[in-house]
Amino acid sequence: MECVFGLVGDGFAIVAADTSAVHSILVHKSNEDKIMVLDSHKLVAASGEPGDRVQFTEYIQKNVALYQFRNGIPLTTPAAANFTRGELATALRKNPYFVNILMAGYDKEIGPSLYFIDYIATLHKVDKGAFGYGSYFSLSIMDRHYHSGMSLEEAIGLVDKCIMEIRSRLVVAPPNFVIKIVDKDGAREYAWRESLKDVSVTSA
Amino acid sequence: MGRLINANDKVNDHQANESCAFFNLSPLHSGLHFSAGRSPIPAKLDAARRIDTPAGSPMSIFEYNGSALIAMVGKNCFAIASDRRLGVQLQTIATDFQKIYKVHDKLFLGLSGLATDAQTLYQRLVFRHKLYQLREERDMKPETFANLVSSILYEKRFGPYFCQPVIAGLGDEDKPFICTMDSIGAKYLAKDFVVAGTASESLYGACESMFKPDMEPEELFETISQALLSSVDRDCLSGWGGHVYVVTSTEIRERILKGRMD
Repeated sequence: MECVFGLVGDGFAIVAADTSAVHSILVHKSNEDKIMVLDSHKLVAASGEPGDRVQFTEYIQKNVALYQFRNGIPLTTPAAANFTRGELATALRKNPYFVNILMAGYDKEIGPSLYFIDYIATLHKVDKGAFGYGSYFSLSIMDRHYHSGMSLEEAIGLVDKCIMEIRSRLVVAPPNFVIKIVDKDGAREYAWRESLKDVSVTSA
Repeated sequence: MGRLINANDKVNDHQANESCAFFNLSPLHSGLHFSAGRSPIPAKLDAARRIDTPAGSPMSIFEYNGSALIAMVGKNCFAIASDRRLGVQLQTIATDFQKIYKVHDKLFLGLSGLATDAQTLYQRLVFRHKLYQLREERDMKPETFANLVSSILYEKRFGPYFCQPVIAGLGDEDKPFICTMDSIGAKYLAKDFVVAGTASESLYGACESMFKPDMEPEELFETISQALLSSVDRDCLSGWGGHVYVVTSTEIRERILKGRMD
């Protein structure tokens, strides 16, 4: 149900996530932001158990901020990814978090990077990654059209292709998606792709 | 055909339940690759390390990520090789995943099985080895390292790391040493070759037929590569190329193999 995917381009990394908050057969809301801005140059797109997703990503965000306060410099993306994996691995055999994470970041010396972190704390640096049922479609589309060093227009085109594929082929396809980008200028929201706008109460 | 019996095959319900109950999830957990609409396998039937796949038939926890590892002994040298696939059950996530780690110039460790436990175990072992280096002011011998790995695995006897390590190194007077162990640390020393991973049965067959003693490094490289590629071609969970290290007393040669990319 929850579709999260991302890729690395030329000097930037993009992640996209669906925005439905679902409980069994009920859609609570269709504008839930699942991509958290971890710090100025990092994004965390998370999917999985809703409570764990929010709690765990906030916990990581606050710890990353604490590191910066204590040490005066921000964590690099590989360091933040390894920290996240460590937290998931420690909790795994006690009280596991059912959260899958794609962490995208930009570092001055390293450039853009994307880390795939499974809910059982498998960490791997990737060029493109995806979670959820949507991954069956988005990974295939990305396998076909992705090449390293894509420009922003090409990458957004590819993200849109993936979203179209998920919308047309996944039986319980989420209607709306949010796309966020991180590059040398920082982490920010890039666009929404809405096919179903939330209706306000008065008009209903 | 004789099957290597090891702890992977044993079913110990009570301890397995505690350590891997979280792998048997109900289908309501959205966004995870478990069969939709099917109830989880009842605990008392086959709880130990079985996960539902989208296709329906359960897989073992050791087969969750997929792996293939070989180590072979040659003349004053050894070779260690792995496949490169990282998967989540039947879906491939990456084709450049590292399974062989260098502990020091004459000691290599390969870890097959569950990737998260392989990463955790590697971090713990590197930590222990670095402490050893600080205290003893020298590198660990392969035999010692194998004992260390074995004890660390047995510490978790009733909640194990789901990994099978393959250790290969040059010991005293650069004599090659290889061993493997099961997930709770039962060591298996061999003079010729050791294998681990989802393709282990194929690997045993291929190595047994292709191996000869006292091969020179170049011939050893050819042999281990052919054994690896032919075995992983018959296993859907491992493959996507190979990673081979050939180590002699003077040099380490690392090579990437391109095989069937599926």
